[in-house]
Amino acid sequence: MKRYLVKRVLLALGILFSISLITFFILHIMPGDAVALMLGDTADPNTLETVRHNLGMDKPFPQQYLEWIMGVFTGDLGTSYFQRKPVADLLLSAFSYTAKLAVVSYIIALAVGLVVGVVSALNRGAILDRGLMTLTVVGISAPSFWIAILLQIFIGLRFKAIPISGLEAPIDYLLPCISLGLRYAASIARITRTSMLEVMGQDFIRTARAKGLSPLRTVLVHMLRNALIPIITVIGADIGTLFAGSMLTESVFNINGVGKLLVDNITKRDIPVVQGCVICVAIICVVVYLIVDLLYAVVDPNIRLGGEEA
Amino acid sequence: MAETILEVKDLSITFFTKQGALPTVDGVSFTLNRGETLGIVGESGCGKSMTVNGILQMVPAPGRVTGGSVKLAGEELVGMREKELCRKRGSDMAIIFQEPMTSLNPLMTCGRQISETIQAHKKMSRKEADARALELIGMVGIPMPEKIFSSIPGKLSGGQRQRIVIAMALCNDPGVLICDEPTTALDVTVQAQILGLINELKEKFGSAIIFITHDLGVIRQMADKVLVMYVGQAVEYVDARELFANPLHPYTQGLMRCIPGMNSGDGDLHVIDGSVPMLYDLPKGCLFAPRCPYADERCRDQRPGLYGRGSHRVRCFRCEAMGEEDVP
Amino acid sequence: MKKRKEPSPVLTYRGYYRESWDLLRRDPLAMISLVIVLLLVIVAVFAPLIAPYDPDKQILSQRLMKPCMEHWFGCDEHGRDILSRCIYGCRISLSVGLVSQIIATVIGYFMGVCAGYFGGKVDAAISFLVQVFSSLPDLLLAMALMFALGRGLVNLYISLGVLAWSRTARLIRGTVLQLKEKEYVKSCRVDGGSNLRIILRHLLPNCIPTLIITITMGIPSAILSEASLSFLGLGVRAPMSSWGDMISASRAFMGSDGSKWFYSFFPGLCMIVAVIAFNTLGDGLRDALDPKLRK
Repeated sequence: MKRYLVKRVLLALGILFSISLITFFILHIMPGDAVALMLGDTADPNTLETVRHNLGMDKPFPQQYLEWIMGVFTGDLGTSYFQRKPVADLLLSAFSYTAKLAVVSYIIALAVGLVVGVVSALNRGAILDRGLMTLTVVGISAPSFWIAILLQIFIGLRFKAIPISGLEAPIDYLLPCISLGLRYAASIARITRTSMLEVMGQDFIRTARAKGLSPLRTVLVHMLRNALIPIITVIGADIGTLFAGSMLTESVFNINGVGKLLVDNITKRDIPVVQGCVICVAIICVVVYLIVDLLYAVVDPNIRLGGEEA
Repeated sequence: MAETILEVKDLSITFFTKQGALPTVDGVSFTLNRGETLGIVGESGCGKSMTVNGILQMVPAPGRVTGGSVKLAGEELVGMREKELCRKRGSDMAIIFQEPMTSLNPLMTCGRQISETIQAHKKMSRKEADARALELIGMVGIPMPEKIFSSIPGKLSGGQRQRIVIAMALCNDPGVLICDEPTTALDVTVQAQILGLINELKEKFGSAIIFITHDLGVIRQMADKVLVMYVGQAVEYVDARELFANPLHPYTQGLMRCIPGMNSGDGDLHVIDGSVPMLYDLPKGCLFAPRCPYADERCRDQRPGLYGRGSHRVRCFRCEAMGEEDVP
Repeated sequence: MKKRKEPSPVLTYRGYYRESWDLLRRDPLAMISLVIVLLLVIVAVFAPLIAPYDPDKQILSQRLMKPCMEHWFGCDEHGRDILSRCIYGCRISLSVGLVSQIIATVIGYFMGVCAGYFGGKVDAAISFLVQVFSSLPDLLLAMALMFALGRGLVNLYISLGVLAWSRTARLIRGTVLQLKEKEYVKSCRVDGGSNLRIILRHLLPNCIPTLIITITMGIPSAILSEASLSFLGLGVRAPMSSWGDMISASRAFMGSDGSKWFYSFFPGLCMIVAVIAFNTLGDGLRDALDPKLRK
């Protein structure tokens, strides 16, 4: 187990390092010149050169990367070109919004998805099951920003009590969480249904019934726990796209999260901020994948054995 | 006269499928006394397992119990509310399934699977139930019960798992214990051990047993009475000793000849020609007629009833002379 | 003695695709989605013939006109017909979906085949790359790439294509690992068939079912990614506009009481129809083509 853990952590670090290298490379080959953009068209070449020097942009690429990555380890992600603030500070304040939005949305989605999936599986083939599954198809296929805008139009603008921007009061969460969570609720519902159906057909469920366990206990303790393993995989894969999705939701609802920070600064070509945002999301994703991998071992003791042997 | 604990009368189970209504179990009747063992024997697909599903009221969709009655200690189970059935299952009647590899929850410790069964039926704290479960694991002959108690089934061998299943089935002293081919999936050596264990525990717990198998050799070891089934019908129902001494139905005779060492010793392995007919394509007359060496015109045209005298009942026209047709 | 190379079973089994087609034909959901997909393709190809109006013609008197008999989907803030713009948007979405998936498939196939076929260090390196690329949300890397390359249709093809290869590569690697153990591949290797020959003659035909499925399933996610990028202002250049661009533009013109819902609603509806159709078709194809499910 310990060896497996060390191996997984090393792999995660390797992945992070590669991602940082790739994104750094991508962001530095771009044709647009941030300095020119920052100083406007009228700036003379000498000033441009000085500013570029001050920002360290005239150094060779590997050196720039090394300086940046060393900074990352000490928590220094550079300084924003335009806001003249440390990127780490900007990220920190933005991150709390993104985290709140993502976590609340996902928890609600998880609860809704599990319930819908279980109910659907238990009523397999019934009208309820078909109706719910048709809804999930729409939920998976609809882009979250479109749902967000429709929610604003049909709910936010009709019922003035429901706000369509910001994320401060609890009621502010309503629309953003629906628009961000819908897709995940739908995909969790589908995988839960499939997984439940598979478990329901297995012999030990018949045993549980033959033992005279209450239906509720059979569903929760015997079916759902066993159905959870594929669900966890989906949860792991979702977390990455959750942050991507929250960028769009943040833009629609004017929430000052990482996504909005990233989008705003992409148009301004503020490289340190963009880079900070990307590496921040990357770290979160990689850490979540790591946790999900380890969570497997907790949920399924049979896997822990495999890990030891490997 | 021994006390009757289970009385099955004219039990019918029908599966409603695209091919039509299939009579999976067709009017099966038997009685089981306290402490007695009934063997149910027949080829695969004869409705043996479905009969016990019918007793437990656990017929899977699209099947349904379509007639007859199942009385457990005088209480009618057919049509009983699911909630009350839950109280009966695992407590008054318990079942050991065929597949020990898959009939235990892979994610739950063996001990917990037993103790949750106890807790489902008796007001007991977790601690007391666990203690009882541990005791039972010792009783079914597993060395180091403490270790097995906290193991998940994946770490156990097939024989050990089947012992856990047996402990689980017996944990609430059921009046009726159903064994649905409990040894088919096991190695031959383990088979003998498990059969011995079931016989031993039968003495200890005094449960009546319904023992399902396709192996007449096992029946001879275990059963007091035997019900031979063919395509959902009882074709012969008789005391075990009488059955082996004087099998009357051609199907039973055929089954006996199929057991190596059981026939007169000409060394050849016999087979019954043909195969079990499909439920959606049943012959018009006697169900066994297409495979029966004695079949005549009447057999192919009419269905025989259950004929018999005393405790020996046979579904064959050749035994018609034995006595009145049983009702119905 | 030179042994004749056994041809790949899938190739000799000439009825394979015919049988798949028969299976697909019996799946009503798949057939409906196939019809919708074909309709979408026709709409995209013949957009100029089908669109009732010039999508770029501005008629200011028709600003934000509600849906009516002349303009089924209404008009946008410049008085342009939304239906016509949706029809032209279909071109962008489908072409982005298709081209990016073809790029992804070519890269993914060669990466996957190399990983599965050569094994060892090559496999380790490619598998690591696959993990790196699948650790980041597609959209994030696509944003970074679009940021670097700038807006434009070709850049969209590249960004979405370059980033979507990892899924294909993983699936192909698995398929190749299974195939490698098959007798006819082994015998070809023993006979000294060149690696390239084996990869193209023997492995490719057997990977085609997998590739058909990944392309069909990849298109809808590419369409969604394209819409998201466009929505964030990283899509095609004006005056071209995809469904995502239209939804993005509509945000400024909802009307204070939401009365201009049609402007946001219809482009999104088109997108949902396309995405569902491709996804359902993909499901049907998977069921029809997967030999493991075939009995």
